[in-house]
Amino acid sequence: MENKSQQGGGADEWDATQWHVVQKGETLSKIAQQYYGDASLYPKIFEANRDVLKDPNMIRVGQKLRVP
Amino acid sequence: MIERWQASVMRAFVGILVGALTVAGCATDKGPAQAAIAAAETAVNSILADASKYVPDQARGLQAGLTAAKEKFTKGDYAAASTEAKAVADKASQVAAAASVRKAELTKSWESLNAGMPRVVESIKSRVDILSQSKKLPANMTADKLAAAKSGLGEITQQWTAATEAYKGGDLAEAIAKGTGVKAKAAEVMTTLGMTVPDALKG
Repeated sequence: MENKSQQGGGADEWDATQWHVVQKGETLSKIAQQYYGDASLYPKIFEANRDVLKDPNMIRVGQKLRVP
Repeated sequence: MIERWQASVMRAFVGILVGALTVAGCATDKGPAQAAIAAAETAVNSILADASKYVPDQARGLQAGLTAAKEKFTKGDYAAASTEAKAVADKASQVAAAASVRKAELTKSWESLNAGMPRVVESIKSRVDILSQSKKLPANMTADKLAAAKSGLGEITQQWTAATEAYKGGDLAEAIAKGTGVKAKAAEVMTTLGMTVPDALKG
């Protein structure tokens, strides 16, 4: 999408996972707003990242999140 | 007078002898030519199914060679028929090897497609589903673009099903052709959706 978004690492050329690297000041709602146009859809991102997120309000800068 | 008569008889005798030897020679060639054609036919028939699928041009060449050998046989040119038939039989093994290589290449391509494409389709479907629930679309996304992406997803799903059916039906070439079409469409839809396109879909 834009420079904050990137492909997952590794050599899997079929990897269609969409990634977002968290920037300073971002929240899941802001990320949802950016990708979906609707901040209320943040649970979609939270659910897709349950392996690395315990709390939707606790994301950190530089964290790589899947954007379904 | 007697000498002239003797020379005439001698010439006739030589002519008859040459003719007889020619006929005998041809008759001697007939059996081997027949056997060579039968062997060539067996060789071609044993590989024709795969060859027609994977190297159709070469398969057609073999059939043409076999036809030419039969035509020569019919015209009584047994030596040429035999030579042609033996060449066809030799060529059949080369064509079988080429078909085998092509089949392996296509199988590898299909396995790659089959492992990757469902993940791509799932990724597109997920994004389309979520955007369909959105109260307002994101920047760079319009209702028309989303509608085009939905339509594209439908095409992708349909074409992918057709590709897998072609594979199940044993038509690898058709499966790859359809799968390649799906790749192109998936890249287009992902771009429309503003998604990062996987390397496998590029180029």
